[in-house]
Order: sequence, then structure tokens, then C-alpha cells
Amino acid sequence: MIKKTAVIFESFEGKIRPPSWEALTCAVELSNGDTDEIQLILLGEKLEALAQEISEKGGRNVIAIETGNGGFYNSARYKSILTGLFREQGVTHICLAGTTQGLDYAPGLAIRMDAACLTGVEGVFDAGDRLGYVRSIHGGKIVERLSVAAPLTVIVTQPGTFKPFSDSNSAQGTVDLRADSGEESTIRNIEIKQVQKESSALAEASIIVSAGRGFKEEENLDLIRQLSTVFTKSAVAGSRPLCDLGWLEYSQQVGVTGAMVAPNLYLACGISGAAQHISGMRNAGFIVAINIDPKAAIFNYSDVCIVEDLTTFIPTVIETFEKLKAI
Amino acid sequence: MMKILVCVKQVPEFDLEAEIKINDSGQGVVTNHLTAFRMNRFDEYAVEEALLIKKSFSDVKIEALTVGPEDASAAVKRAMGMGVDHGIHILTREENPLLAGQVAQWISIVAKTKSYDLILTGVMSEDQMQGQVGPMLAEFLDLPCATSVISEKLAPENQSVIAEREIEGGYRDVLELKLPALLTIQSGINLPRYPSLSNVMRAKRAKLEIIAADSLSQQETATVSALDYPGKTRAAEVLSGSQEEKAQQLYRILQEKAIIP
Ligand SMILES: Cc1cc2nc3c(=O)[nH]c(=O)nc-3n(C[C@H](O)[C@H](O)[C@H](O)COP(=O)(O)OP(=O)(O)OC[C@H]3O[C@@H](n4cnc5c(N)ncnc54)[C@H](O)[C@@H]3O)c2cc1C
Repeated sequence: MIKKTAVIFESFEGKIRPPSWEALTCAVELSNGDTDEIQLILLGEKLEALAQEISEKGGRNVIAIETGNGGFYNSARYKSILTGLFREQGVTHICLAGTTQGLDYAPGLAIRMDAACLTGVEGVFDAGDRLGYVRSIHGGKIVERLSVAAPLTVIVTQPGTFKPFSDSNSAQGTVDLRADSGEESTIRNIEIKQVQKESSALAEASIIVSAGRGFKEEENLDLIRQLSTVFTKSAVAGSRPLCDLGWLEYSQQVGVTGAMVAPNLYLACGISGAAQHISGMRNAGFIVAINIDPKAAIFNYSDVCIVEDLTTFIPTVIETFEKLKAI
Repeated sequence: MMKILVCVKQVPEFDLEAEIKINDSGQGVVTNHLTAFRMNRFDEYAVEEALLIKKSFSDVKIEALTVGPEDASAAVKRAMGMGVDHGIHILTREENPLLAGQVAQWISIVAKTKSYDLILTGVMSEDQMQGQVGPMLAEFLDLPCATSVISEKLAPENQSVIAEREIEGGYRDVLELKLPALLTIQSGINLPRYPSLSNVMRAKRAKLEIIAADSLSQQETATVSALDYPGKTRAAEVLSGSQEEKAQQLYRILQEKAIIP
């Protein structure tokens, strides 16, 4: 089967969202050399420069659609524009990044187009006459390999799992700039507002000690703060549930909806290793995990695994490190 | 009267006591009497949000619905224990895989007969981690939809709801959706309450509305799934010994890697 894949790029504040380049890598991995076609799609406002950029770096033809509406993303409009476009183009695969935007419209788009839909895709493989997709389930404790036989498949990649696309040899593609404001929408965009500034503390730290739901009680968080003081240039971070509980600030949250960090050392304590958390820290230089459960998914992403109860082990680490430092 | 539907899911909890294992068919995980089941955490936030709406507006009826085998009704009962008025169970056969598109379609068939003003779901389920049923259900019902909602305010006088979607980098996407609408609720929007004793008693006595999935539509699937245990992406060196020995080894490793002086 000749595949015709569309990769939908996303931009925010005049920049391409990095995970879009990962979605292109996914499309390249599932294509079969030169016989398959990959088309890049970009929706938004004032797209000329961005479309040029992706046609150059992506080395493929771009269809950029000015969607009006003040440049706002609007799922109802996007679904109607994309459905029209893909019917015209006759695509077999649609790849996009699993950003909050991608996850917002992709499942509905798939239903509208009678397509199969996979979210959280971390890898692709050849399953004979079909394509196969790899994703995590049960908080990362199990890997699911799905093979799909459908005329159209929508593939939503898990941020941070495919390499960002880069190919210095690729010839520049063409840019086809269009305009389509879609249908009248039942959704009205009001504004994009910033509620949280990016934390410089996490970006600047060379060591991040991070706490998860394994801490169980707010009082136990003193342990992570003490552990942090054992190191220099360190900062305290955590998983989303602790921020939801108000035990940590949202600026301390690591993951797809928090900070993407890459310190020299990431020390994960009582964190299970859900894909949304892993995406935010998998590029750390060195990863150490402390978890009471030997089967915790976080261990699969760690350089060093310590199966211990953090409530007793962290005090031991603090004491031991202080002792050894003094020697 | 305003009618709200909350979709909830029963998920297995695998931990130290109940280790996760792939079953013989290789297509599912083993669950037995040792497996603890609970309501998907993201759905607890959706239930709580519905209860908060009921508190601020008069004349609101909340229904909770689940799709799954016999045992799944516990999630609906839990929602009723939290204060939901009525429960619906779309009953599947034990061997039916719960595929997002199929589940959404089943719910849509039932929801069409009930004229809800607002439908809430969790942002994703903790077991399948797809985040698809909500937006797919909205599509089947032709409703406006917002996912990852972290704040919401109903404006019944305008027949609309203002929703804030959590997006990357500390930003929110603020939208007004015409009712009826569907929102998928992100964790952190509220603090879900525990079921109250009186509600739990009431839920125990309450009869759920049970609808056989087979009677709604036949299942067909284009996907075949095989499960596996994850591989390792790094060295994953497991330290052994006493706690103190492990701490000492860690110190040495970090020194070797020049992470600490
Ligand atoms: C759209 C979306 C975006 C999300 N974004 C993020 C994000 O940015 N960041 C994020 O973190 N999550 C995010 N999540 C949530 C994510 O899916 C997980 O729910 C979350 O990461 C789990 O946090 P956790 O590992 O702390 O908790 P759990 O999964 O509950 O894990 C707790 C761990 O602690 C261990 N433990 C328990 N007791 C002890 C003990 N005494 N000693 C040692 N270990 C112990 C357990 O074995 C377990 O592994 C997002 C979810 C969605 C749907």
C-alpha cells in the first residue's frame, strides 16, 4: 500500500511547537522510502514565515491554511477545515504531536473521518501487512503493541518519545498558502492567558530532587527539602498530583503540562513513571529513582534503581552523604 | 432543570500487593480477587465538578454512567456515594475489549435519549491512558468540546459555559462553549470529596439503570493488540544491600559521574 501521510504542525506565539518535529519523525519512520508521500500541514495566522521554515527544515511540501479567528486554535473550526482538506488529499495516515491541542481535536477528527485513532504513540513497527504502534498503558507498567488495518489512521505521538526531525540533506519543499475560516463555531475563543511563569529555579538547577504521590503525607515533604540541601545547585520538583494537592507549587511540576527539565541529575522519589511525567525529565543527564515497587515504570527510564521505602531511605541517604562528605 | 452526565470508569490498581501480569492471551492483564479496583482518579474530579455546579445552581440533576462488565458498576455507586443522583451502567461482556471509539458510540446512543445540558468526563483513564472517549463522544453527539479543563463557569442565562483549558507552559486557553457541551476535566480543578455515609447508604439501595451494550450496537474493530512488559531505556542498575550500603553506593556512583564533588 502506498502511504500518503499528513503531518499537522502546531505553532504557538509565532514558533513551531517542538513536538511537531517529533511527529514528522514518526511519519518518516512509518513511511516506506520514496514511494510514500509526506505532506506537512500548518494552521493558524500569519503563517508565511513559519511555512517557509518547515518546508526548509522538513524538506517537504507544506499546505498552510490561514484560519482567521484572530489566530486562535478552535477545535470545531480545525476539525471542519482538516476534514475538508484530507478528503481532498486522500491521505492514509495523519500524524500530530500529543500536545494539549493535538489531544483536543484528534479523537473527534478521527470519528468524523471514520478513522482509527491512537494517542500516546511512542514507536512504530512493521506488523506485516499492517502498521504497528507502541504505547504505554497502566501508568507505564505495560506496553501495548497495536496493529491497525484501517483506510485512515490518526497517530498522536507522545511528546519526547520520537527524536525531533532533522535532515540537513533534504531539499526544500513548496509552500501552498491558503485561507479557510471553517464553519461558524459553537466555540468562541476568548483569550489565551498566562497563569504561571516558567520557573527559572528548575531550568537553572543542575540537580533536581523530585517528589511523587509516594510521599503520601504533606509532612513527609520535609524529607525532599532536606535531601535537596545535601546537594549544591539543586531544586525541589514534583509530579502533578502533589501540585494538585497544593503541597508543591505548579511551577515545581515536571512533565508535559509542567516544566521540561534536563538537569545533570534527576532524583525521582515515589514517582511511578507515567508517560506524562517521563516526557518532562527523560533527557536528564543521569536519572536515579527511589520507589518501593520493584515494578515501577520509572525504573525503566533510570540509570540507578533503588527499591526502598522513601520515608526511611531518604533520611539514610542524607545521613550517609553528610558523613561521606565530611571525610 | 439542568441535566449533567458524568462518565466514570472503574480501573484496576496495581501495586506491591497486586502485581501487574499479562494474561495468557497476551491481550489483557490478569485481574482477580486480589486486584483492587477504584474509580479512575481523573473521573473523581469530574464528579466533584458536577457536584459543585449542583451546589451553585438550583434544580440540577446529575447522572453518572459507566461502560464495562458487571463489577464496573462500583464506579457508578462510588459517584452516587459522592452525591450523584442517578446511575447508568452500559453492561459489556467480560471478553469485550473497551475500545475508545466503541465506548464513546455506546454512550452517545444512550445520551441521545436523555438530553443532557452538560457532559463531563475525566481527561483520561489511568489504565488505557488514551484521553479519547470524551472528545469522541462529543463528536458522536455533535457537541462543542473542550479537553483538559482546569476551570469552568456555567452561564445558563447565555446557554453557555466558559471553560479554561490547561495548555503547555503555564498558559490557559479560555473558551465559551454553547450548551449542550462536553468538557473533559483535568486534575487539580477541585479537591474531590469522599463519599458520605448517608449517600453511600442511599447508593447501596439505589437501582442502577442497566443497558446491555449488545443491544446498542455490535462491536467491530480494526485493531489487534498484544501486551508486553516495557524494556529499559537506560542502564537500570539495581542497587542491593542494606539501606546504608545502597546510600553509600549511590554516593560513589554520583562521584564517579562527577555529579557531586
Ligand atoms: C493531560 C495530562 C497531563 C499530565 N501532565 C502531567 C505532568 O506534567 N506531570 C506529571 O507528573 N503528571 C502529569 N499527569 C499525570 C500523570 O498521568 C500521572 O497521574 C502522575 O504523573 C502520577 O504521579 P505520581 O507518579 O507521583 O503518582 P503515582 O502514579 O500514584 O505513583 C506513586 C508512586 O510512589 C510509589 N510509592 C508509594 N509509597 C512509597 C514509599 N513509601 N516509598 C517509595 N515509593 C513509594 C508507588 O510505588 C508509586 O510508584 C498528566 C496527566 C494528563 C492526563
